[in-house]
Amino acid sequence: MKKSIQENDWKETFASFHSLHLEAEERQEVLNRLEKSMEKKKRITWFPSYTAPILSVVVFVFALLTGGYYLITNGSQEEEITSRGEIPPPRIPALNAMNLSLSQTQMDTWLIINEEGKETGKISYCLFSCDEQVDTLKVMENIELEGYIYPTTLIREHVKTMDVFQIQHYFIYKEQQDEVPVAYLQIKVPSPDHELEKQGPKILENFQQNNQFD
Amino acid sequence: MTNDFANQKIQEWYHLHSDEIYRFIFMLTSDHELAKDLMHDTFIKSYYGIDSYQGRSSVKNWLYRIARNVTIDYKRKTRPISYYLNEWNLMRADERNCPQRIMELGEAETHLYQALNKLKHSYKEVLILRKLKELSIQETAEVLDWSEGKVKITLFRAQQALKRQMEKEGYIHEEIYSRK
Repeated sequence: MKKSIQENDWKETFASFHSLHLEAEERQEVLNRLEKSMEKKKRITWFPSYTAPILSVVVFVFALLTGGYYLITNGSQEEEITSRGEIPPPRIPALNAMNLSLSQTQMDTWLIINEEGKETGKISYCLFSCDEQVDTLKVMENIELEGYIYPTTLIREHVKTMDVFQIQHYFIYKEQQDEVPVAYLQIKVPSPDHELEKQGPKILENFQQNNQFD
Repeated sequence: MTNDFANQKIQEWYHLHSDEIYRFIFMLTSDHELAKDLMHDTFIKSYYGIDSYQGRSSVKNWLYRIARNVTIDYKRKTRPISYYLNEWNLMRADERNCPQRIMELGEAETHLYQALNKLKHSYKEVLILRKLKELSIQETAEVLDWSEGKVKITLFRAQQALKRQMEKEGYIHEEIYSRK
C-alpha cells in the first residue's frame, strides 16, 4: 500500500538516524581499547618532508666517500704485508702472455717458471736482503735505466752455462739516493737472442706498473 | 608532535566525534560490533597519521575520510566479490538484513534504511553524507575525495535511485529529490 507524502517526512526520517549512538559503556570500552592500542604501538614521528631529500643526499655522499676510500685503500694495500704477515704475490699480468708463472719459494721471493716448469728468473721484495748472487767477475754491463717508475739498475752477467747464457739483474730502488734496493728482478736468458732477453725489460716495466714498493 | 600530545588529541577528538563516526560507519556496514571495531581502527589510524593532518579540512571531515577508507578497506578485504558487485549495482543487499537498532527507530526509518542499503555503495555514501550528516557539497567532496561536480552529479543520481527504490516499496516523498 502506498503511503502519502504527508505521512512521511523524509527529512525527519533522515534526522531520526541521529539518535543512533553508542552507549556510554560502549564508548568507554572502545576508548580503553584505543588507549591500549596507542600505548602498545608508539607512533613513528616522521621528519618534515624536506629532511628526506637532504638525508638521501647525505647518505649518498657518505656511501660515495666510504666506497671511494675502500677502493683506494684496498688497491694500495694489496701489495702490503697482510695481517697474517704474508706478502701477496707480485702482480705481473704480462707474464701470462709470455706463458710464464710465479712460484713462491720464500716469504718475499718468487721464482719465474716457464711453461716447461724450468726456472727462468726470480722476483724478490728484498725485505731482509736481496738474493741477487751476482758474480762480479762476470758482469759485462752495469747501467742505470731510465724511463721507469722507480730508479732501476741493470747488471748483465755473462754466464755461459748449458742452460743460461746471460742473467739480467734488475735492482729497483724506492728513491734515487737509496743504497738498498726494495725489489729485485732476475731474468735468466737461455741463449743469445732468446725472446727472454727482450722480455726482461717488459716484465720489469709491468712489475713496476702494477706494484707499489712502500 | 610527541606521542603524548598525539594521544591527548586523539582522546579529545574521540570524545567530540566518536558518535558521529560510529553512526557513519554503522550506516555503511549495518553491523554494530563491526562499526565499533572500525571506529577504533579509524582513531588508531588518525593517531598514526596525525602529523599528516594539516588543518585544511575540519578534524571531523578528516576523521570521516579515514573512517570511509577503513570501511572500504575492510569490505574489500573480507568480501571483495560482494563489494565490487554492490559497487557496480549487480548485487542488492538482503532486505531482511536490517539491524535491530534501525528497526527500533520506526517503520519509516527501517524502509528508508533498507532502500538506502539497496543502492550502490557510492550512492549510499553520498546520501549519508549529504542528507544524514548534512555536510556541504564541498565537505562531501573532501571526505569522498571527489570533485564538487562529481558530488553533485552522483547525489542527483543517488536521489533518483532512492526515489525509484522508495516508490517500488510504496513510499513517495518530495524531500528526497530536493537539491540543496
